[in-house]
Amino acid sequence: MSYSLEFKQLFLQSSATIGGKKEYRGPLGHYFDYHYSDSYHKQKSFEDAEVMMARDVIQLAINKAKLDKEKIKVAFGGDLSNQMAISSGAIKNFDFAYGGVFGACSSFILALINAGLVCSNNHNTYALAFTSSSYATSERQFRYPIEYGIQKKDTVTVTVTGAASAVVGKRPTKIKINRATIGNVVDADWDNVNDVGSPMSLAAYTTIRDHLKNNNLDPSYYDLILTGDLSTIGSKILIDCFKTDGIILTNYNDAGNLIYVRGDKDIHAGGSGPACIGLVSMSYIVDKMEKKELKRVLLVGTGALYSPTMAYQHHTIPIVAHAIELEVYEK
Amino acid sequence: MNKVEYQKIVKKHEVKNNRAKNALMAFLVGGIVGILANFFYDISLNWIGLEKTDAGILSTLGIIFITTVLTASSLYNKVARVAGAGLFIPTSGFANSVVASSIDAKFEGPVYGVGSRMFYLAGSVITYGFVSAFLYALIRLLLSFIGVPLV
Repeated sequence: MSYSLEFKQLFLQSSATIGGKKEYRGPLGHYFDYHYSDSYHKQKSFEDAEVMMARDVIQLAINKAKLDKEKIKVAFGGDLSNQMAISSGAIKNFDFAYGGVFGACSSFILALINAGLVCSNNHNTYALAFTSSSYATSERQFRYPIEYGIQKKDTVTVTVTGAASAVVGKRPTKIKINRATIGNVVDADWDNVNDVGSPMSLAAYTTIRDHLKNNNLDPSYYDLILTGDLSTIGSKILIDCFKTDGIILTNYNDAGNLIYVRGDKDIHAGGSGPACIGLVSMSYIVDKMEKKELKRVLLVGTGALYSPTMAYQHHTIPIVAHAIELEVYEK
Repeated sequence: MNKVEYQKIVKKHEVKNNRAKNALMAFLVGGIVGILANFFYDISLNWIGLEKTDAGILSTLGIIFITTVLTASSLYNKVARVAGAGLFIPTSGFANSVVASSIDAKFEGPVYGVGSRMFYLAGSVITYGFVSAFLYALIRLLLSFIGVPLV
């Protein structure tokens, strides 16, 4: 059973996003604070470029929060690289206490929850959450060399290049963070690494169902339920899962389906990666909420906790989803 | 919702790959690669005046060279996405896997990168190429005992 928790007086102080070239060209590109025009960004390697992107996005979030620098005391972050080297590489440039969190593509939501928990019990403490992912580094790590000519399946997702960061704390702002649910790890008996959107729908279903049940809510309570990267296939499965329970999800969308131009063949089944929900929620969703076009949003980060080594040994992929609720705050 | 119901939903949304289209593209592109190789072969045989075996090697080298140039200029994977097995099965697939791995490993330097990771994907092909060559030779040897000539 997933664990739900409530934050006391927690607000989103600032949010910052940096997108890659392809993401910038997508329908949400103009919501990003900044974008990088190539995978190198004048760095020696793809990894260096991602570290720089994460570092820049953290700095942007700090600047936008307009707080005394000493007040931000803790940072939580995570990414997809081995040993989360990108996050540590980025955070070493700052004077923060740091906790690395890994939830694969749900890392950003998990980082936000952790940051929220720190602030919840400490007045005058602000915490930062960040994440990053990059198509080039993920491709190298999880799949094949970038120039390798292979016919990709229609079910694969494209790792989003980008970074997102947010500062949370008790100073009242336009957006309040109310509740969160830490999901339990589920096993969908799935070992096809070319389609992780399908099994992730089970984790998203479990977490959303438990979140609603624990808080006695109806899905219609939210203006939008946004999952991270279920792909075009997984999001259909999620809707059908709720249908079997007699619930029709009308206010649902998936960040991976929003971020890229629809119908682009190179996108396959949609976007994925921790930056997927990070980019969409911290730019587009926050913007919509500040304009009060959306009042209550449930962000559900979904992660396939898969390791290539374990996959080659034919283990099924453990799946997890974490949810956090944002609400427009009216004084 | 229970697990059985979930599996049913997943099954319902399963995406089937278009095998007929993939096979047709592989057939066409594979054929074009073959014609190209044969073109090199004919040139080396008739115009340059090479021996038959040398002409064969030169035509293979031609395919490898073109693949390398296309891979290095980021064009190969765009074509291969459509062509599939048509480019994967001929020498071009092997050449591409070596070049792509090398390009990818350049960040880690000449020893831990390019040197050790160059055959990251092609290694299996080489290993099992050796194994099958050995098995083939063994069968030929055994057949020679019952009178089948070795050469």
